[in-house]
Amino acid sequence: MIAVFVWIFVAPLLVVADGWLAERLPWRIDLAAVFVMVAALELRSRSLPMVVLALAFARSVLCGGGVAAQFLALALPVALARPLRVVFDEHAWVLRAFLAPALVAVVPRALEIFAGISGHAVATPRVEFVDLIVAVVTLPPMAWLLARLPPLSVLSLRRRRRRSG
Amino acid sequence: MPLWAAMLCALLLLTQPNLARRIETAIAPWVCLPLRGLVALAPVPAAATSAIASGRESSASHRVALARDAEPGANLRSSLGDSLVLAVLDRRSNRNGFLDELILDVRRDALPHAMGHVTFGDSLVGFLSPRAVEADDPLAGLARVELLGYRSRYRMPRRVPAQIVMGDEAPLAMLVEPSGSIDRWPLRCALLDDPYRAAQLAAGGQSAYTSGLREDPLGVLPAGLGLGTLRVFGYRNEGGRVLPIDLLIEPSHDPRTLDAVCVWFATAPDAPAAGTRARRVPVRLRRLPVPVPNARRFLATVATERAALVAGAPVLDGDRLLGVCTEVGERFAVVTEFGSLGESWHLRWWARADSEQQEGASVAIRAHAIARDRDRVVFELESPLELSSQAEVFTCARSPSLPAGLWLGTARRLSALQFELRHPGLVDRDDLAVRVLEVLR
Repeated sequence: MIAVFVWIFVAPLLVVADGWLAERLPWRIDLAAVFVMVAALELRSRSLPMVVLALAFARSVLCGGGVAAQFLALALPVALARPLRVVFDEHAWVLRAFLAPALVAVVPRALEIFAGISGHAVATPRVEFVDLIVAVVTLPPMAWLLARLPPLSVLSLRRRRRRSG
Repeated sequence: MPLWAAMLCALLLLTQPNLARRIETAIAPWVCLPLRGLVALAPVPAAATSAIASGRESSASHRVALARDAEPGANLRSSLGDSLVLAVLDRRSNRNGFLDELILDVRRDALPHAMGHVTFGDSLVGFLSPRAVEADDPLAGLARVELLGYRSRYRMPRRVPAQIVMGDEAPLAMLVEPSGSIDRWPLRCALLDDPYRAAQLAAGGQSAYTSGLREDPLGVLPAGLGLGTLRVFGYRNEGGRVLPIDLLIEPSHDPRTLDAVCVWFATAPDAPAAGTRARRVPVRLRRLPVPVPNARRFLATVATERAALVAGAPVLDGDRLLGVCTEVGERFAVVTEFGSLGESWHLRWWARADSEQQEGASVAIRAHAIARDRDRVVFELESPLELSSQAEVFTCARSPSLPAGLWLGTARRLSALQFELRHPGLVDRDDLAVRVLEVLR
């Protein structure tokens, strides 16, 4: 619970960091997609709604689009990618490398669709082919790092398994 | 499973934008809390030059133009009595989303002898409500104008005796009343004096005027005020002829573009004081990098005093609008820069000396920004309009804290649909102010 509370305050900084990287790098590293990968493959089910909601609030305040649309744009890819853990080893880098470009392409489009339904105008970045290639290389290590940094590390499945095992 | 349940709730919230907005407003201060700590670490910017002088001069001229737009022509003026031009502060919609009410910048109790009708130019806009804005509203006590399409849950709608001019034939008399929620236009014609002639109206486009019914039980209404344009809704047969089912009226003016209206009195009134007071709260602005293409957000923190900022409040440099507070908390707000790409704005185009258009002519426009390069923003009109080649551009009010008459910059027409606006945009600064309106009690 404390970790979720801390995440509420960290999430806006993740959005600002996303913007900071977007301004400085020639290609895009989508930290929302990094978060979705962590949430889908690393976090406990019970903590997911609050953790996703916190980031959705931060993105809604700073990027617009409305909190419901932001939540659905993040939660839908999480919900669709989460069953992959049953078939594949969730720590497999191959799985993450395939998942990364899909998330980079899906998250902005999902936001456009849901924001459109709620009547909010929202500007989303155009995803180029080079962004997908960059995502394959950069997203898995960044997701690995984010999952091992507090507060999300406290909410990870790995930590629970370690405690129970 | 909890995530799917939360997604279901979010889907329901998508259909309830007002509830979603309330939740966002409650949470936004908490989200902004860590950002305040972040911007406190930002370096102090170099002093920027202020646009106060030029802005103030243009703004004063614009207010004169606004007042002139709202006043009727000389032929109507003599029959209407004495008038006051009052600024529109806010617009309210009914639960179907139809805009049906205007809030004026004057207290209702300051207009005890006002007549019912409210006009803009030569057109009837609506009726001054005897009731002020209710006590639980931030604008409590201010005067309300019920537009012609206003429906009350507690009483019959206000019907207006009207007539349609039909070329050489005698005018067709009728009553104009609010239409149904499924109708495309907000007014409907009822109780036609000659239904047979009305059935011959295959095409709309005729103008409707008030007819000034003698001994109208709902109050005297002058004749000759414009109501709008007739629109015919009906079946189209094989020959292309329309059999009318409903005769509707499209109002002369879109209420979203009205910045000021005329209220009428039987005898010359003393000009009442404004119902609100504008307070300037000095703020410090620091940029927040956000992952939104071509949009810039700033965090405004109140520099000196303990003051609450209001959502929709304008960030000003002198009289020039630079941005708008979108999310607010105690002593801080997230500010969206004016001219963010893709966003649509209601603006007023006040023509400068031009060969085609007389100087001072003002046109309400709606446009969205399509490109920005430093202090040059290119806008595209949402519908083509005849505009002068050069103009001063001002805001059209849409929120209580964004009054009309805020100067934006000098514009130059590029093509039939595009114009370029010189607007400095926002940078990190310590010398700007947020204008907050307070209702005088």
